[in-house]
Amino acid sequence: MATSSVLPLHLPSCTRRATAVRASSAAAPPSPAAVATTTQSLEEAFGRKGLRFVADPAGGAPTAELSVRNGSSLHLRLGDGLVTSYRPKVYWKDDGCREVLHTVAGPSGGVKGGVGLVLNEVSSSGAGAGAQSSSLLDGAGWAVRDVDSDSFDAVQVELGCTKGKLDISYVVTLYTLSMATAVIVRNTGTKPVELTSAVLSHIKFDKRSGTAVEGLIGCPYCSHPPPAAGFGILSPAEAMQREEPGWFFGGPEEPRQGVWTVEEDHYTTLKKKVSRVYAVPPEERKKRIYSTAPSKFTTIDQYSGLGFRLVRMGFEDMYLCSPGGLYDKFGKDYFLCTGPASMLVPVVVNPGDEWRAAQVIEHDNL
Amino acid sequence: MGPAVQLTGVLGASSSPPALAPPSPRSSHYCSCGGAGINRQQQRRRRTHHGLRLVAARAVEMGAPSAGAPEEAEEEPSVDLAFVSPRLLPDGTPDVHYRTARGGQKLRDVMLDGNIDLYGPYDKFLLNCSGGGVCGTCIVEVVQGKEMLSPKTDVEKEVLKTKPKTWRLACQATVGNEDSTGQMVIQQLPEWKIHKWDK
Repeated sequence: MATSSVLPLHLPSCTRRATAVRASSAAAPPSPAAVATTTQSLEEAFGRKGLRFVADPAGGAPTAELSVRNGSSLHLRLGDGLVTSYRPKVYWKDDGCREVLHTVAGPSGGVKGGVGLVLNEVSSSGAGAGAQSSSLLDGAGWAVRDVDSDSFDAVQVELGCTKGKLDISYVVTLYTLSMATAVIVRNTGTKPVELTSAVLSHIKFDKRSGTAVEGLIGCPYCSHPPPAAGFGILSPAEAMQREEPGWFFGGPEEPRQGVWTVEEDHYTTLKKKVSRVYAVPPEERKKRIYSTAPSKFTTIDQYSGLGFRLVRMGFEDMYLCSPGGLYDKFGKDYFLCTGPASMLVPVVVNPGDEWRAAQVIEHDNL
Repeated sequence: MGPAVQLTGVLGASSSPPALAPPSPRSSHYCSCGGAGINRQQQRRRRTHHGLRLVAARAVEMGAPSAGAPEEAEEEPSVDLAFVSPRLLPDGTPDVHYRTARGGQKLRDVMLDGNIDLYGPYDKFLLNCSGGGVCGTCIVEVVQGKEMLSPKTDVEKEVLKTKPKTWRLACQATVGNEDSTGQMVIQQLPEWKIHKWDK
């Protein structure tokens, strides 16, 4: 039940940087010797039961491997903070762990997919050219700031980086039945900052026809491209491409961008290609009171029978994208790119304030 | 509009409000009910209402939009409701959803139209009596705003004889009348909730 997914660990204070060890950035692949020493120093500084630092054999980037007593494990690539593997225990067998995340090999040997963070700063230029957003995480070197674990059922790693006047923390936690990714942004400057952010997860499904999402009934949605992300499998342009109707006569046509419709089905089947944001429309949010959007939804995979619940905390919108017919370009499994986001209306972080938001992937399959 | 209600987490969350001190040992302050539609002037109030205090979290401080007059003349009168799920969010904060509705309807209709989970596991076909007042599965707990609901019917008194006094059957309780305005906090599925409400 929910008690097992309650965070028992405190989020480490961001001021604790005594033993911050800089992980090599993904930009320049390090030499094997350099990686070995970095991983070794990380292991010495932070390694403990349930947390190992290894150099990823494929790309060479240092990766943290978190594991808990029941066999669930999570791999976190330290260079760019991408969760490349999450294998929770979902069956009551000895080896009952199953990979939840979908990854594909990227062009330069890296990996795309998994669960990653997108954080952009929106700055409106005075000359009226409109808001431009720049990614805060490009080229940012994530450093391991702190780890925490209770040695049995929970492990937590905090990565941090500082970009200008913003102190950004990314905390990844693994529990027996869930995993949580949280972002904390502190504004140490003197001017307010506007951010758009998303946590995008690529979740794997057995077959295209058995993929659905439950829990979004009554929520307004509109077509919207995903935020641009280096780790994204589908680029924003690809995600918005309309698919040929082909054999699908069922279901209404996908609304144009900017047109809001309300989800009418209990189960949103995701056979066709969609790229949607489920949220309360920004105009609605200005009213005195408005109906809030659901805070969680469950993915359904009819063929494996497993469901995973995605919970959004601190974010305002839920982004949902399915590749439809394009999925076979990216591996043989169907996948969804989904996750909570604050992308329609930027979040304002005033000087001295902090903004926190998190996504939790949990399951009741056991 | 009445006192703010206190919510005791059985998890014993203890910390100070997020704006003031480092994170608590137990929980973090992600707030998913950032969508209360309380306008910008109430941002500060909203932040306080999610600050956790020792063994108590203020679940909802609905803070009336304006102290006296409910809303502008153009807007039709409606009742604002906050529905609290029996399960807290993973970080220990309550999972609240806001809806607004015309008065005069049964609470069950308001909840079903707003896609709020009323029946829980009894939502399936024929597992509940769909508003007939015979099955006793549509129980809700009224945390705040009970004066807006119609008095208990005989059917309710019978079915809820052994239950706490704040519990109502949503299919028997009418929310005010056509012109009512006000706020209510409703706890869904009180038999399954893991937190407690302190007054």
